[in-house]
Amino acid sequence: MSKEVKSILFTAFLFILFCLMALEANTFTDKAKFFPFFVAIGAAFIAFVSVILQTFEHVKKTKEEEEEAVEMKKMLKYIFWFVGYGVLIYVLGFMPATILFLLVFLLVESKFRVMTTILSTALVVGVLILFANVMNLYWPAGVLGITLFS
Amino acid sequence: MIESAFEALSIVLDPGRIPFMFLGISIGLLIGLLPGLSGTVGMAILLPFVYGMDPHTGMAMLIGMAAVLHTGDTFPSILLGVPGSSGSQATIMDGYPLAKQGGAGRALGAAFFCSMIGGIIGGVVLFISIPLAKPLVLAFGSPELFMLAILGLSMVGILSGNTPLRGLLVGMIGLMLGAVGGAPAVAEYRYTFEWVYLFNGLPLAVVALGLFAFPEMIELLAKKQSIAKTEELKGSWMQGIKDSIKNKWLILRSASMGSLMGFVPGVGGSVVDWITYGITKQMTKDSESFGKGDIRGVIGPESANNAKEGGALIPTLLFSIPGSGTTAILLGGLSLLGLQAGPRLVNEDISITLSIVWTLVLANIFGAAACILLSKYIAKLSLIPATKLVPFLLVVLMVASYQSSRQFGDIFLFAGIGLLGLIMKRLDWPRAPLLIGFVLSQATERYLWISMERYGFSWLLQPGVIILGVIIIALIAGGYYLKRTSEKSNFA
Repeated sequence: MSKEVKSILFTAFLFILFCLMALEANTFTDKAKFFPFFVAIGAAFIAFVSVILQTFEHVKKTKEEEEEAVEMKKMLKYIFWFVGYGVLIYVLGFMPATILFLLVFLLVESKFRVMTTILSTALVVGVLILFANVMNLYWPAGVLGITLFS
Repeated sequence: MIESAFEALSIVLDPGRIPFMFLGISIGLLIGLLPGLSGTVGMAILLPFVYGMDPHTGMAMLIGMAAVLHTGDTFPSILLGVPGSSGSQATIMDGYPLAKQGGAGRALGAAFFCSMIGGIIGGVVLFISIPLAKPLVLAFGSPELFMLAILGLSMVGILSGNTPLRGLLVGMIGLMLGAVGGAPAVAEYRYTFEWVYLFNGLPLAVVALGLFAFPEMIELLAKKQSIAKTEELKGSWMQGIKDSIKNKWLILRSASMGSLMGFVPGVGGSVVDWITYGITKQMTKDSESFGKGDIRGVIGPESANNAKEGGALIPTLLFSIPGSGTTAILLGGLSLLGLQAGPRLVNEDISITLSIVWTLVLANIFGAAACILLSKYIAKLSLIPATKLVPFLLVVLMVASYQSSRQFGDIFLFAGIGLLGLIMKRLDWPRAPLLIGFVLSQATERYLWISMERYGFSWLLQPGVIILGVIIIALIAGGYYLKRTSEKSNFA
């Protein structure tokens, strides 16, 4: 799928989203409604025009760009890492999740040696604790309720 | 005013605040020298940490970061031939050839010296503009403030380059995201779906982090950005400084131009950089050596890009008009610190505005000094591969996003907006308009509502409103003209 087609699909998605938001805004009282309702209607109209214009442009084009499938795969892999880290924070809490994430990521992706990985992780934990005290920072405890260094 | 300025200097130099300014400077230099990361990312990372700080300290950190960004971005431009940020593209034209010829030290010396002088001139321009703008700012009522918000929103077209329709659409997404939470005119919650986290609206810091930082991190990793070859730090630093002093009028001219162009909202660092380079080349008699390693090709753009920051703060601080993603976040930062851009910043909170001027000046001096003294070590940082740096940055991003409201919603929102930002980046959709729409959403709705309640439709005929309407049209036309001029210089 070319970038143009993806862009058309994304705009169509925005059109549907703005229509739904306009419908939702219609349920608000008058004073709360006027701004989001008219913005959503205007945005839906622009999205609709944009879909038509992009479709015309796409039809005119004869050559399609080659997809960078390899890069896309890599991106999906790293999105998985990022989202996985978020899920870990939700389950284990910030500190245990961070320690686990750094140990695994630095070993697997960054190709650090074991000792460098352990030292780097310890350093990050130390800096986090220091900054938490100096700047009054907080982090989530997680659904398991593990409270490490907090 | 002078007395207030010295009072502000003593506030900035308070030993309790100086470390935060240095923290901002360090992060600004780091962000600048890592190709792929912009000032918007730096500002988004720092924003959640200013929550709860006193306004002077918070501003010292944010402005310290923004002030030196274009000092740090010179390293990759000259040593690697890769722009550290969009504002240092033109520096490559002559800086990189100079480095190849063994004059990296000379080019960097000139660049840092000019960045410092340019930054100071930018600060002076901001200082001078305060008393000039004060009577104007204080005369504004809600209709004029609404028009100023519209002026800020109209910048989305300029920021969108060749795709103004997409920019407009993205700006409207920002407006709608800004409408989430309590309505300003009536006690009613909108688009919250009974989720308590959304009752106070979406936190700006999380939106900014997700929109800008998340996609950059993923792309850095996916492209495995690491640079194989760097030019050596040869050549005399002093020679570069001497060259700059010899071209003092060029520095002054370029810095003044940079400040003035920075004042026009929507004109980014890359535009200022290329226009200054083009004008420097045009106004030089023996311009054949440009592009082959002429030191004047480094002096011109480097003087302008730091000076631009001072100019860009004038519409942001005095008129609440953010002209870029970075200044949009700064505007949000002011709200987090309990401040309001516009009339208050030239009246009750004048000490904050003056401390911003001082921070701008001092950060440029300290930033340039750090670059010259620690250049050997700083230059090495730009060679760290993404896979070795990003995991640590991700931890910082997670901590930062959680500080906004200290609920799990922050982390979910960070991931959600991050994915939206990634899709937009991959599809070449502009992202800065979303942030501008988001930041201005509440103000636009509030001032429109007050104007309509108070004046009906007659506010549209007020002289201030008409003048601002004309200015909006002129600025949009001017912005497009400057962009086109910059593109021509780029191709030439």
